[in-house]
Amino acid sequence: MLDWLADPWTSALMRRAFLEAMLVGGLCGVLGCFVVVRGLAFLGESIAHTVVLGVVLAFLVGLPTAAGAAVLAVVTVLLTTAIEKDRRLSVDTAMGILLPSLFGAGVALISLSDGYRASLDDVLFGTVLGATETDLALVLGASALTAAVLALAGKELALVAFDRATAQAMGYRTGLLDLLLLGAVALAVVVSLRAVGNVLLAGLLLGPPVTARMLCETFWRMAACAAALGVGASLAGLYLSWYVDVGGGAAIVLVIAATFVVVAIGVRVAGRGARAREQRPASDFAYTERL
Amino acid sequence: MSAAESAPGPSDTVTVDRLSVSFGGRPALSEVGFALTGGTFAGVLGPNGAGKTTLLRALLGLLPVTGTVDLRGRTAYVPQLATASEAFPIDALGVVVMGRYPRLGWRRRPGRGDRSLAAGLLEQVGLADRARSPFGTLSGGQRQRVLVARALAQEGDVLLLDEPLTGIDGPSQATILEVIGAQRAQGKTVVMTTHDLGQAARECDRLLLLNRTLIADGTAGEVLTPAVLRRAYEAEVVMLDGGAAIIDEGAHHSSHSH
Amino acid sequence: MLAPFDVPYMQSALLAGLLISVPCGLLGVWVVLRGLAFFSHAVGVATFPGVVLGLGFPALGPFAGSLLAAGAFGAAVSSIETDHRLRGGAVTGLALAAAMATGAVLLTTVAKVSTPIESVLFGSLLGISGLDIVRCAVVAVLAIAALALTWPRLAASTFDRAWAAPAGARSARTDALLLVLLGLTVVTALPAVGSLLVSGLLVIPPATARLLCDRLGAMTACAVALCAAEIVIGLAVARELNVAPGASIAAVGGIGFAVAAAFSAGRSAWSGRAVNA
Repeated sequence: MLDWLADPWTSALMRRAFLEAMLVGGLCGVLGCFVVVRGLAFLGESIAHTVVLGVVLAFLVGLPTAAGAAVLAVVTVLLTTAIEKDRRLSVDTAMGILLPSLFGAGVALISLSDGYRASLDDVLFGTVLGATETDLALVLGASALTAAVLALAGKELALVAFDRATAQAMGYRTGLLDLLLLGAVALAVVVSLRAVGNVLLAGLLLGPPVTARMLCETFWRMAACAAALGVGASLAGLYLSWYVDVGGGAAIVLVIAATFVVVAIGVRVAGRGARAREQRPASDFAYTERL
Repeated sequence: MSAAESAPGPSDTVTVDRLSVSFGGRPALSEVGFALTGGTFAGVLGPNGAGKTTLLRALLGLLPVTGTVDLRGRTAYVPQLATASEAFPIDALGVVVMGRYPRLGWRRRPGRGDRSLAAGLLEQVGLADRARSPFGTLSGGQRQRVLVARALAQEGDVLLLDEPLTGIDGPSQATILEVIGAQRAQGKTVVMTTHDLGQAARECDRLLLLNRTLIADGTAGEVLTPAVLRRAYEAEVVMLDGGAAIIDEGAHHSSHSH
Repeated sequence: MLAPFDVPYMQSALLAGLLISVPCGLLGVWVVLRGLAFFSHAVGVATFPGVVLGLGFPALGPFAGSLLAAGAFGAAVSSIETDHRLRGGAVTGLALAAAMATGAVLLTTVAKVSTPIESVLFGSLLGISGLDIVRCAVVAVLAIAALALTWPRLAASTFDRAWAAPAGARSARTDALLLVLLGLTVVTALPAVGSLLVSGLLVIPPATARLLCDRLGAMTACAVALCAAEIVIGLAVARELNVAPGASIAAVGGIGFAVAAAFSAGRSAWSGRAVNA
């Protein structure tokens, strides 16, 4: 039994993969809670795709690809805001325009630039099993940065997520806090892309929070639970990919999805939460910490 | 005074008897009963969450109810302004023409007669010059007038309006009240929810004071007394000189327009 | 512009493209006006494992596989999304990632597929068969017929659902019809543009049309025309530059939208939040 558990850790490659995946799982788990509460799932999914254009452009001009991705993430958010300012169009439509056009442009560029062509699979599904020292450094850096942001402004960010009107009335600069949050999410997306690829990222960002939401009463417990679920799923997924020979990213996402289904069924069967929460509207999510 | 008839009288157009509605085990309306005749302009009053919109939706047959709702004739509904999409590509005339569909059937295309009828209704609400303006570029009061014109295009016998005068400019309010008056003169029954007690007292000839149950039903003089208001609003009522009243519904309710 | 279309496979692609532009434009109008862009993207992505399975087992075939996958996905998501606790599309997002993961796993395990994954995800000029053209024609006719019958109901329910329901517009039924047509259109467009870029056809042309037109009829005609133009230009670019058609079509569409946006930027009547009396 112990052999079975210890076996993957003998490989240096897998050790890096485990570390990267667990960090990414935890990071996305926590930040994903903000994304889910704010209803920004489509934005997260869109950024995951549009950054490909930035990655390719950066590659073509010789800049670090993470920088290109970061720039495109910001551009996506700015363009979304700009499009949404027009009352005729919604945020949903804005995403529906930006995702295919920017991602499509990126994919086209990949075809045109021979150097990148071979990596389409990696771009899409990630390379966690081929994690390099650079990847790890980036993820560690992003995790540290996010931890700092949450330590400094976590309560404020949560308040803005739940009750923007009150936050504004209390004098918080909600615009600035929004930017901070979007920046953190974009950062998480960019560093996680290398691990799981852009088509799987939504699973890592949304799955653990949505599962945790069914189990936890308060926001910070939900965040902790989501982080734990993310880390656990990454661990389990990589074991799966080691023994069953499937892609690392795909395995992790499938573990997350399976966990969600199990919890959803369990909650419904137990009746717990279903009747109790019927009385409470979706926005009335117990936020108990006082500022 | 809350007298309720149990069976529709000969001239009753709207009869409600022991109407109850609940959402997920929580009662929203409880044993409400009243009868209205043609030409009546009834104002439905009550604090937030009293069930005013629920009552209208029950009258329209949109909710499962216990008790009876008996409506003589067709209904025409003016929902709260917020429900209409401002992003939708339609002009004022188009919105009013849409009101013809319940009469035409949803497969027939409106003809020239329908369009000239709609144009006439837009003129009646003072928006003949904005017929081709996109709905989303109109002001709140103008939009509300368009939605009232849409309801008139339905040629209903019972007109139900949900807070039609809330938050819109004075002239638009006046126009809408004029239109309601014209409908009454034709014998139509009009039911309007509002939280403006003073306005309801001035304009309506019948007041229904609601807070899950029907607290009072009668004229302004009968319903708007301190004792009755206190029961309905469950809060402090201060009577000022000249008959004005201040109702403090507590910190979590926003102030009303008076 | 005759040059890129001088070979049979390009002519097939052109015919299929022109045919599919009709349902894409007609339905796309409602995708934009009802906020269904995320859902459309999700359905597109969800077909991926179905296509993989269909390619790996020729008895099933990619079309049937994608149809099954789209149907299963639609059913699963609509039953979950009605739970208000989980609103905001998070479950849809998880579901589409899971669908992609399933497809990826299928690729490396049970389904031995010779078609390159690029074609499945982004479309292929060579992958459009005569049968696909027939399907495009059938979906076009279905869409025209169904929407012609339900157009007023759709318009009323989308503009003001609270009014439309008591007025007899049968909103729930028209919702369902729309979603079914959407699924069919997505599945039919897959050979041309692939699973990941389908919303390029369904969202970008009508959104561009919305900037140019203020009335539903004009917007619809404009959406179909723009969709057709985007497809034609996109196919030509795909051939000239040797890139996947889904990518070039979406990129062309994006440029078209940007041009229209720049053109209508001066129309301040629509910027900012609503003006109240």
